[in-house]
Amino acid sequence: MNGTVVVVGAGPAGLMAGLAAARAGARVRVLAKGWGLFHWHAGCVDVLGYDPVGGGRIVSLREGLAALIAARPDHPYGLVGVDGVLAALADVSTVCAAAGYPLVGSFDRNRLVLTGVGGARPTCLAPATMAAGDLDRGDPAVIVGFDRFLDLTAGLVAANLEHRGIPSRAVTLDLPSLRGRRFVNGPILAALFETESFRAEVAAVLSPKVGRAGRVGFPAVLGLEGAAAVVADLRRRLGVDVFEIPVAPPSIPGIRLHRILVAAIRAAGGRVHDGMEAVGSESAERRVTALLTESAARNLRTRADAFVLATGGILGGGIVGHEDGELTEVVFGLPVNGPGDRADWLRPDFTDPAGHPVYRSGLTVDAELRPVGDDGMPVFGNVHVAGGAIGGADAIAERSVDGIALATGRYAGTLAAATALDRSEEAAAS
Amino acid sequence: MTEPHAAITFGPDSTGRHHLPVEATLDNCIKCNICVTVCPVSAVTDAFPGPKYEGPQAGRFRHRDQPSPDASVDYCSGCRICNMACPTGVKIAEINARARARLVEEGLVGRRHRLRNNLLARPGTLSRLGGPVRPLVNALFANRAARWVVEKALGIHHSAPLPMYAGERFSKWLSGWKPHDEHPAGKAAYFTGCSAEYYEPRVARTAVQVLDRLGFDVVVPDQGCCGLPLLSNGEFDAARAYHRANVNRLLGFARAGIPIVGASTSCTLTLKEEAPELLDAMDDDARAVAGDTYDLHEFLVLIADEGRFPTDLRPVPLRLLYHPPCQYRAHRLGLPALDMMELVPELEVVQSLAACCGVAGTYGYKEEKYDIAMKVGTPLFEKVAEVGGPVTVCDAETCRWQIEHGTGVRSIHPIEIIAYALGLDIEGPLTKAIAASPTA
Amino acid sequence: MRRVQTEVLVIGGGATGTGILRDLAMRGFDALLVEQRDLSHGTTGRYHGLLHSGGRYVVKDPKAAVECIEENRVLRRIMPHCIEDTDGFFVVTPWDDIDYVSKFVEGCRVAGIPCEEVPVAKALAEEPYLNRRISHCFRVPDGSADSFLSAEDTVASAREHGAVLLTYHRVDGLVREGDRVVGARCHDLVAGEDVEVAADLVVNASGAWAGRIAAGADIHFEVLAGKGTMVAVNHRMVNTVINRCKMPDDGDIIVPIHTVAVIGTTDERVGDPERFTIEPWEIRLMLEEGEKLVPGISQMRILRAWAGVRPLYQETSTDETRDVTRAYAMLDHGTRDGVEGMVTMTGGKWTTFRQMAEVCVDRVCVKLGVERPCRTHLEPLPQSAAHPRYHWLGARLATIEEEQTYGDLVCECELATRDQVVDSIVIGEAKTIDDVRRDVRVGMGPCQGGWCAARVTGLIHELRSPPVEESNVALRDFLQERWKGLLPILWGSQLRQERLDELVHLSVLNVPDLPGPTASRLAPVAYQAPEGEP
Repeated sequence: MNGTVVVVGAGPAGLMAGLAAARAGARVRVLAKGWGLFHWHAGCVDVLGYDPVGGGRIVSLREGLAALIAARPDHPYGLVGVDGVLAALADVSTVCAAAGYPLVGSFDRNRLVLTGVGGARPTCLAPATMAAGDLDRGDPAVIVGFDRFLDLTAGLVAANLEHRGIPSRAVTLDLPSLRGRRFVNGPILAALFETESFRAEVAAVLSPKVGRAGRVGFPAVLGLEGAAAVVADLRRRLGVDVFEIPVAPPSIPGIRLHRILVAAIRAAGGRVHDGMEAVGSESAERRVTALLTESAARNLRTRADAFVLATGGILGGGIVGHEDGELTEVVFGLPVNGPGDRADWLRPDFTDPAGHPVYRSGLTVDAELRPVGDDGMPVFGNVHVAGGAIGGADAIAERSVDGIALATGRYAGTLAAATALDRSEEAAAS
Repeated sequence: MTEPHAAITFGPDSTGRHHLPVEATLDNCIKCNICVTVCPVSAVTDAFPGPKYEGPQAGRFRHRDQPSPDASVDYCSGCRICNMACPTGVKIAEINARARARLVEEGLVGRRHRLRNNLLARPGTLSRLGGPVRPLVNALFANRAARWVVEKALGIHHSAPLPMYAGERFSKWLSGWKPHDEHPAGKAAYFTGCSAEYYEPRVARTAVQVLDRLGFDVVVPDQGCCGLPLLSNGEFDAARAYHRANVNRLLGFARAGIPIVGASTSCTLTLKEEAPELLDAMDDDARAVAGDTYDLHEFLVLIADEGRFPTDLRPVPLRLLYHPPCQYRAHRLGLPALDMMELVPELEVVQSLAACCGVAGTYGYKEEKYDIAMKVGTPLFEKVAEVGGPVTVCDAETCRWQIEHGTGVRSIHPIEIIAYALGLDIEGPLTKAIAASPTA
Repeated sequence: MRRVQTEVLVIGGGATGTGILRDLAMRGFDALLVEQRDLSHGTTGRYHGLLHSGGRYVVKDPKAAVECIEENRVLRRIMPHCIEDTDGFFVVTPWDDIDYVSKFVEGCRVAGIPCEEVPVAKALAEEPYLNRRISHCFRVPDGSADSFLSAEDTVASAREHGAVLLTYHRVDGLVREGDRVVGARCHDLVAGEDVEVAADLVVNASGAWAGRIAAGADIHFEVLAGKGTMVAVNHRMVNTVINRCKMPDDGDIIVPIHTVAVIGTTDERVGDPERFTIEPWEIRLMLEEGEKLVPGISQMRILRAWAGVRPLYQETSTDETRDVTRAYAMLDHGTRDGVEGMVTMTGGKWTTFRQMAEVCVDRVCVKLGVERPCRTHLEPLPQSAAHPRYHWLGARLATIEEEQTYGDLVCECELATRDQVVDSIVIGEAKTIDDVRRDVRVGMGPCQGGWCAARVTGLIHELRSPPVEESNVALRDFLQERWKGLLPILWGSQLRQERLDELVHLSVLNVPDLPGPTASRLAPVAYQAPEGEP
């Protein structure tokens, strides 16, 4: 088919690439083995939380990002520049706002979002549903947990907040409507919060306990499709600001972002499929002509003019580390740069601020995000890499997972569409 | 499940595919909970603890020589949506299916339910009782009081959308059918499936006429039930016999390179994968048949890719909702039916983004699962109402009946659209809808 | 500074020490046990879980073989709930000397170990993952044992008879008056205070530390530390203990224990029972040897590696610790060293702990001039008395199904419920999350604490309301403890798992940012090279 872009991987990098390519006019197929990062991460857009060069928390991205790129031009952010990051942030903000789920944040000041154990996570953009939980805001908070929802213990969160100098009180709700249920988990609570009766029940029990607090924090389960409306309704019922607190996966806020991007791709005429595990490719003259995915009884061949490889690093499954120290890229078998001796992969301290060397491994790419081989030349002219598959950063240690994914994803999708449409014009002309 | 299997191969084969035994895939699980977020059953009922719990998690506690402790695995509907969303390749639905088979093997499914499951799982059996029985059964199934009695006796829910026997079986029609004389495209073997044979012969009639129109010499081999309902109900020994019988019958076609094509997505998936995988029955013959089996639209897309599909198609001036069934998505082909429908002029297809219609084969017919199935299907039913449209489109038979049951709107197989677009006039809900359409 | 008086002080909270405590208490002694960390924190908590039939020793050490089969029977009687009746296979692989077989069979007969030849086809039908090239297979009554549960319930029995347990009490020295040991000086790690224990008799049951402890009373003997490393595979691809039919050596056994299968083990002398590393060659050796029994095992998901040090006592020293006798040693320091008031019981293997305790307490009786018969082999442990059945793999799954507690899981991997965790904190007085782990298995499954670590932290905080820094550091300590055993085996799926755990704890929750120290004084001791080595 002409002007087709196949994106491999449906995390933030892949979905952003798919959206950018679809909007640039390409026919887009996003094929993923399964879902991924969005369902695990906090549902925010982290651009850079900690400085990988000098250590220390990043306050201003405008300064910090520019400094990082200057000090480390090989960093994935060096491939897109500050402008590329800003463009991605603008795009994701726009698409979320259009979906009725606005994001808030500033490039000049990282927000500190309260976490499910009472920590503070630095981020650039957070959903408006988390805004009132900003930790630079010192006014008292009530932290709400649910008796059988084990991923947020209100007392622990409140105690850690108190330690930061923010007066906090913990309330653990033991609601009649939850008592009869076998499961009180994120997806169940999110569905319940979408019902008026549950919100009424929660508000009835909680209102008397708000006291002089100006805000009430819940675990991030305040609805899936209608989160903004859920939060607005709770705010109205309780009479104070309401905010969400990200917890361990599944991430309800993350799933919202996933769905918004998937819907946007579909609206732009693209398709997104899970259950499609890439097992190989066909290529000729340094161009990939088709992706092979595993299907029942045979492999499915999907032809395209350009490809985006957004399968992630070790977390996403795009790169696998082997016992003998080898690191392999699973779709195209591209050369991975990383510590070749497994003894050099990991540090003795789990939370070493410098991160673990193996996680900086990945593909080396040129200015157009094409993977390069040992000879420095692009292995394939029509493959563009996005997200965690690109080497040169430990995105978790730096807290830059979402920013790298969205920015390189957007750039890769744009490049892939250009490649695909050039080809399709070529084909039409001949 | 007692024969020692061949040495396990780890790592992909030369085509990149992995062949780990089902239970061994639980090692891939990174506990991420994605499957939990997509399971349509655990979202609506407490009776099913969820795919992560029942699949890779409980799997580590199951022992082939110890009693099965968890009856709750029976509430898995087998929709396989979890498999599709799993980022690490855990075969959750299959782990559950095999655990359910253990329950059956151990006699932990009550006698009444087991009898019911077997009756539901062998649609051919009742029908082979002969011509006069069929109208009687139809009358029974349509009678409310009789349905209550059936529920009390067998556990088939009184409201479940049991299909009616068609007046004329497909094979009867076939024996009188006159295909084209010329067959430039060669032979194609058509796998009918029980539903088309007994309940919806229209679908099979349409499919073979499409193939014929495309230049294929259609052969309908001697065949039996693919065994999927037996597999879904944990009746593995019986399923094994059915599958083996079909492999024997179809092997000749596979060896001769004659494609085996089917319009029932459940049957084709069973031949391709579900039976050999669940039963550890992927020997050379089963593999040959699997490798030769195609979903009908998968097949048409391949033909279209080769430029052998006509381009002058009759318009279908309708806006229709298309629901790709779970079993169809489980083929992992994307949406070939949608690809084909997109070729049809004026047709506007609105894709249902609903997870599952709820019926999941025989699941939604059961007294203890009917309500769950209807809750699971509710978002889809609402979408149907929202889109409107004179018919809905769906590739799987029990799904069509469930959608009709939940919405009151008739449902057709996508091949019926393709047939019309190719100029074939086959009487059915689609042709009626087109005739009634203001733009006709 | 506290002072405590008792009749018999037991040092060491492993199988030996707890077994001795129970026997003492049942025989009416006023007994107190001190353990530097948690029960089974030492060797007892770091072995592969084998309940020996004795088959392993029939040729090499027939005396040990007899001890094993005798105690195997006793333990099955008194603590079946700690034992899974897995049976054991001894298989002859192409790498094994066929001449050994007849010696093995004869050895079993002589030792009284039931040994039945199993046709290879049947063995493979029972264990489909076994190497199909085996030529012979023999069935023996091996089993697998939960040493944590055993120690815990042994202490419960001891307490029923009046014994006292003091965990997190480190012995800093023995108190000696002339030629008599009269007690010990301890430090309470939790309260941060010193405790002096005065006793009529001290039983040194500190395993690999026994030499060090005794040196504190100027009594000298050498207990060699034989480090053994083992590797757990994520799920049970075998349900029977699989042994190579050969003279015992490294990596020749796979033990199915709870939800994992453990490949064991190596045997390397180390100088210090607290400083040793897990070497890459050991991991590779486990996997290579494992391949001979279960082809493909090295490509399965490796869950964790750990090492423990075996205490090996011998009067004369030798370099190769595997040749040192495994039999235990009862040292009466009165007769041996002229110092009264202390006996040492060291060496041995888990399977014979009860017998070691019996021999020791018999000596205690002699030294204290009383005659009281042992009953530990006759009376079942409390939990077994209540529910006399073997542990089976599906037990937790069945309980959850029965009680419908699917939604109350703290550790989903290992099916540990909130009630179990709460009991461990409240009744079990767990001091660290690792203590809870030993009680109820939180963090021992595929995700190695990915979700349950924070959940347990929350429960501890709710139940005890400590200063929040303590809760925070408890979480950090546990994450680091899990990391310790993952470092040597992180590749493939487990590497991906750990990266997800890192995403959750660092990026989502930002645990490192929480107030409090990076590690507490109860933090786990990392595997580290001895001083002077890199």
